[in-house]
Amino acid sequence: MLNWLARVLQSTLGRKTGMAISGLLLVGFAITHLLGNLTLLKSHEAFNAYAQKLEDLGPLLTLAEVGLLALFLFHIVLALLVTMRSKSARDVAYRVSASTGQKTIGSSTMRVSGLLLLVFLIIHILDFRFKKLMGYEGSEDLAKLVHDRITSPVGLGIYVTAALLLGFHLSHGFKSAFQTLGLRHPKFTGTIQCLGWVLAIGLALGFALIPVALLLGAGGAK
Amino acid sequence: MTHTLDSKVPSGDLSSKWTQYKFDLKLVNPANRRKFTVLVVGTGLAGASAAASLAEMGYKVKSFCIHDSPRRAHSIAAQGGINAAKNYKNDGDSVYRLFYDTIKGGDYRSREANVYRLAEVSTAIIDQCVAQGVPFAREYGGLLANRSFGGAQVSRTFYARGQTGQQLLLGAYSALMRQVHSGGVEMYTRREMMDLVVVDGIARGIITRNLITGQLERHAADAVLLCTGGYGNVFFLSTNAKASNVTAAWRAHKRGAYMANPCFTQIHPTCIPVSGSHQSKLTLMSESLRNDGRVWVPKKAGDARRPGDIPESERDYYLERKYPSFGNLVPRDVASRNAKMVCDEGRGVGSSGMAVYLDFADAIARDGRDAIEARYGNLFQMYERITAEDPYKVPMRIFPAVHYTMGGLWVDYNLESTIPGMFVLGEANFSDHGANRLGASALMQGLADGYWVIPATIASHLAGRKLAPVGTDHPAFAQVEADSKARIDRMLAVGGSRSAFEMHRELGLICWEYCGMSRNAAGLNTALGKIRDLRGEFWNDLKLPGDGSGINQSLEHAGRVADFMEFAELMVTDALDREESCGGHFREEHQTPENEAKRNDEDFSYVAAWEFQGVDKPEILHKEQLDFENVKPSTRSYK
Amino acid sequence: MQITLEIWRQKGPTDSGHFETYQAKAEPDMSFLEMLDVLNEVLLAQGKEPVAFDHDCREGICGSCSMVINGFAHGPEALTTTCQLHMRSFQDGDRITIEPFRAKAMPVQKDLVVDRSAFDRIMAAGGYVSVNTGAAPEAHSVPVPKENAEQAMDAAACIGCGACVAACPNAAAMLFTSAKISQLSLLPQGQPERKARALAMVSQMDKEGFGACTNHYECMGACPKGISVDNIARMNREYLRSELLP
Ligand SMILES: Cc1cc2nc3c(=O)[nH]c(=O)nc-3n(C[C@H](O)[C@H](O)[C@H](O)COP(=O)(O)OP(=O)(O)OC[C@H]3O[C@@H](n4cnc5c(N)ncnc54)[C@H](O)[C@@H]3O)c2cc1C
Ligand code: FES
Repeated sequence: MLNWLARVLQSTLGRKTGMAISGLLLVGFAITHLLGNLTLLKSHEAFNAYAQKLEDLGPLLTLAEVGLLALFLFHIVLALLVTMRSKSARDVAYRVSASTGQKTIGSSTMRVSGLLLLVFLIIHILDFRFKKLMGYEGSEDLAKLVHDRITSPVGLGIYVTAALLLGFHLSHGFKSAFQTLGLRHPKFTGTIQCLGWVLAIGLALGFALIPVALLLGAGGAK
Repeated sequence: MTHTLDSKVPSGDLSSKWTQYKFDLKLVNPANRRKFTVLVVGTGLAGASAAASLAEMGYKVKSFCIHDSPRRAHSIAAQGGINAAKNYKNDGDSVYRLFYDTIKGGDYRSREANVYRLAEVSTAIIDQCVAQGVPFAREYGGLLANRSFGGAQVSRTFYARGQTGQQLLLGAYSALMRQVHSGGVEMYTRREMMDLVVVDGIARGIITRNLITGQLERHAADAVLLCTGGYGNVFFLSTNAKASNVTAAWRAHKRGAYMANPCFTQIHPTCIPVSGSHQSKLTLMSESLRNDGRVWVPKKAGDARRPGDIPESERDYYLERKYPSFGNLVPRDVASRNAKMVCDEGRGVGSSGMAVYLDFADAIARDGRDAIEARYGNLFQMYERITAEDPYKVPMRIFPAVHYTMGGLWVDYNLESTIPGMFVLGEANFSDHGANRLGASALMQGLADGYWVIPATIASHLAGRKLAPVGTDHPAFAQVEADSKARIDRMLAVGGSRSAFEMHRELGLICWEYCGMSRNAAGLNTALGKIRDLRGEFWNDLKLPGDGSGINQSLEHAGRVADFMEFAELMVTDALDREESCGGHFREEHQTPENEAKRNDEDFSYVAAWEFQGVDKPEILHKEQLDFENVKPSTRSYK
Repeated sequence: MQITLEIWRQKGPTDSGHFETYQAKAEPDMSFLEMLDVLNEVLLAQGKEPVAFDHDCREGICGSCSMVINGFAHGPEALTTTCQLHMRSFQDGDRITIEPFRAKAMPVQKDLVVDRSAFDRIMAAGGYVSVNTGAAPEAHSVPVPKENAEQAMDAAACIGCGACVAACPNAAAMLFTSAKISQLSLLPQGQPERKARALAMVSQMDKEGFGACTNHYECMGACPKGISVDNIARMNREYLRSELLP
């Protein structure tokens, strides 16, 4: 079993499969995360209640958090390995390079968008998971904390940009994951591509519009 | 050493000769096969199939190719298809009919026993290729599709779109790579065979040049197989791949292998014409185009109007006029010759005046553009890509081009040359197509030789002769290697002003002009003089860059041109000697009052096998009489 | 027409190489390689080294020719090999940059000549059906659905030129490898070795040092034979099936 896993994870196709599966799971996480966040638009109380529900899970939450972290790390480490491999595969660059029109902005910015998302992720975790570190101590009202952070000029910039980056990343990543898993067929590939766009745009807009909506007074702003 | 020509054709009934012969052949014990090294030069259909098959049997095989990969051999370019007497269409095909058609198509200048064997093993080739995963065209029921090709009366041609050669070669290549993987074959890519090493009258190895490092290398063996293809590039412009050459065959010839019927070359009528003096290569357009296209030229010489401006009454549909019953579908040689005649009269079209129209206007008016597109869409597209003209709107321009060479090294029924231990397979030998090859039969022959014939007949040599151990330290290897080196050094030392490229082009023009579609004694004699002069110039005025080390493509090419220079002389000599018209060889002195070919069975029903005597010395002609026990030679007529 | 060429010149595998600029004359009817032939004649006459490049069939089927022209593997025309490209695709006065195919697994040997033997090794690892000569059953004993035969042929049309690797931003060889895996997995003859083949060919591809596909599909855009990335999906499937299913 371990041998098998080691072999699969050493193969480019195995690594890409890992990235695809972890990526799709992360998309699932992003969707639930967005749905949870939407409660903020309703009221601070609704959001805090939602947060409390999660807190009440206790060790299960910790487990979920560790799992999520592992998933991210898995995705990121594989991405790094795959990228390093590809970088070394072309040791001399072309002087002139052109595209036959197949690649997209999304596909050619995967590494950049991925890296920036990683930076964002660190900020995001520091922001809300390690409140103490960030000097938000004493604040028991998580909703207010979030509200203040993401509607502050810097926070707004960071969070809206990250939402858009996520959209970019998914515009290629989603359909790419299906291709990597071999799930390609004239009957459903079109649908998957559409779904990819819907998700990319939906998640990007969803996450980006929350702070905007808050600024505009949604969720009973202070 | 002169060799008497013994074709080793077994006696007995035609249809049981091969089976009986195989039974009579000595066998090499499976445990002993590993002890024999076989060198296979060339990885076209013949070479790849032979190397793979022999390695599967347990022989130690070394395979050599000029390219960076064996998959790129010239066979890859064949388009139309491969014949086999499967009779899947129930249209009366049989081994005998395929045999008969091939003998007749060859204008009665091939050996009955060889051709019969070819037809006999043809069916097993298809089985083998299908098992390898060759994606032949199929019918809706999942069974193999066939088409009729090259005017055959039965549908016996198997095909994989327009890429039959590619698919067959990739099949053989995959079998070869499987053997490379398992250690049965040692693959030497980017190697060119420079010469043959003969020890005590037996072929015992070769000298190769590593085209990357420039180093000469020695390879010793118990048998050598030349699968190096045809010599069509002696004409410079041909449909052959650029690296195709006569070098391996010619060096072997100079070491004692007889060269047979070199004047038998095939000129294909439907190729895209030359567009300018820069032209490097000619492209074949499938023969099937003549099913719907009408061939014409203006009636008036020098008529420079655009085709659409020439009224019907001023056009000459010369094939329909001269051959009312066959019209545009006359055989390759007749169509080609007539195109040349009208161009020689100054009625050729296009900027060069060396082309005729192949016009689809009537077919489009009759069947509609869609029908024509369905039939020839890909060909029309290819034509447009090369010429930038739309054949739906303006007639295609076509002209004949050198396509295949029936002549080659003389071999007996075992495919063994006059040098014992050296076998010749595929287009490189002379054996199966007489004076004219039928469409879709070269692929068949290459694979027949490699998959079926040589695995059996090589035992005649390996088990039949006692071979003294010979290694690369034998003085003969040092000697031949020194010869090769001296030749290369000599070329590099000339330091003249003309490139091999330019002189090759000039040689091609001479051959095309005087030894092309039609030939006469005066012209052939002129050619001999011109070729000799050019050869003199080559050795006095050749300019080469660099030295013998590393990649030097100019040097590689020059070496091949040097051999073409010598070979061309023999080709012309053979054409001069053959005082008859047959197949692709048309001697103007020997034609009927209607300008048709006149064969002379009385005096020329033989294979002309030439023995080398030294450069500038006349070669000695040996004749292998052809006996027709089963098929009575008759005259072809298409009126 | 008059053009300016910037060509990668490299004496040998260990030379570091550089670009040289040449002025060349061309006719619109010339093929791209004929334009280089003429340039080489001029260079030779001037006592300079001609440009080395691979070529053989000059009709788009052998897969020898291999150049990156103005950033495009095989030049700017779709479904066209370098040898089929004609000068009429360029304008008088154009500046054309010619580079070799670039990938660590396909090192430059001289000028525009690269070593593509990695492809042969991938094929040797499993790109075949193990059937010895003479061991084949009668061709009609196994019918093949026409649709499968057609799809197998689509994949089999690969000429092994390496343009997919050259055009891939990751220098991956997935299109090449997948074309052969696809062809044989679609045919009944390829079934017995299906799993072993996929694993062996993918593993060899990795060993050669090709990059990892990130599904840009530039390979498909550059492929002169229009091989589809459907084949890559099929290869991925074949790989997963071989690794995951018992
Ligand atoms: C455009 C075209 C279309 C054709 N279509 C058909 C068709 O539809 N049906 C049909 O039956 N036939 C067809 N033919 C003919 C057929 O393709 C060839 O006759 C056949 O493939 C020859 O196979 P071969 O193995 O004998 O030689 P080749 O395939 O020519 O292989 C010989 C190889 O040996 C190499 N070589 C030569 N010299 C040396 C050396 N010194 N050292 C190392 N290697 C060397 C060459 O580079 C070459 O790759 C066609 C030919 C052409 C040109
Ligand atoms: S030279 Fe053969 S494909 Fe270009």
